[in-house]
Amino acid sequence: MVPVYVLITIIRHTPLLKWLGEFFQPAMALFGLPGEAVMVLILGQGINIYAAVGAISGLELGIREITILGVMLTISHSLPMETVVIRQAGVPVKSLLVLRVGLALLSGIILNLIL
Amino acid sequence: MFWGLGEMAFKIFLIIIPLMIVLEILKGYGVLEKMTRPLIPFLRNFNLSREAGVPFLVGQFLGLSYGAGVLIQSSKEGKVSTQEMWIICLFLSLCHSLFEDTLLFVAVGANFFVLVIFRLILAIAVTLFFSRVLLPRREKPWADQ
Repeated sequence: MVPVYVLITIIRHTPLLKWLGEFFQPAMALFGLPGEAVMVLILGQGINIYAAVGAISGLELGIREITILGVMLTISHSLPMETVVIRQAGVPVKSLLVLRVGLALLSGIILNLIL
Repeated sequence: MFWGLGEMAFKIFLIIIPLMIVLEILKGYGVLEKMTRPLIPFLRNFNLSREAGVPFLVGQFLGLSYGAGVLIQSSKEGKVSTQEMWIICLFLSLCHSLFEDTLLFVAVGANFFVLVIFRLILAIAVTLFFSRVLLPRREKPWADQ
């Protein structure tokens, strides 16, 4: 969490985050989020919620944005690790993975409309 | 820059440490096993038996990584059928560590009620749909192609 926060704060002062943000702006607008928030989603899905929370505090986001990110990320996060746990429990993971990510994205769109 | 970092780390520390202590107590005294009885009617909605209660509660309170041992064990012991396990994992993958994950986002400013209620409604609706509508009709819709 802390390394992610430091990293995000540093790259916020470089053009890197701006380029990334501009590239993802159209997609993230579906969820009512700024383009830079794509970093939060990627870190949350790929690492864990602590990394995502570190990135959120490194960016400047409002309560509405953080709530939408929170719902999307609590539904779907730490995919590499949690997928292994579910597979170990003897359950096929592919369908669950698709459902999980799909519903997280759908929830972001729904919340953007109702909040 | 580092003032914000200290504030965030302190808030998360204040929330997570007491939570971890409570969870350790729940685990150590087997409280979760005793809490399964009131859960039976809720589980029956998803065509789940009483045996599903422990993995369900462990996932909800301790999370998938922390509760992985219990989940894997109940699957290996064979008390919970594959179909039941699939339904439990469906609910748990959409909604687990209800307190820890939610409070982490609340610490950085998210709305607690939106997070909890939205996720619970979504998980219950999707699991009801799969366990009541989709699963009884087909033989093995949960298997990967």
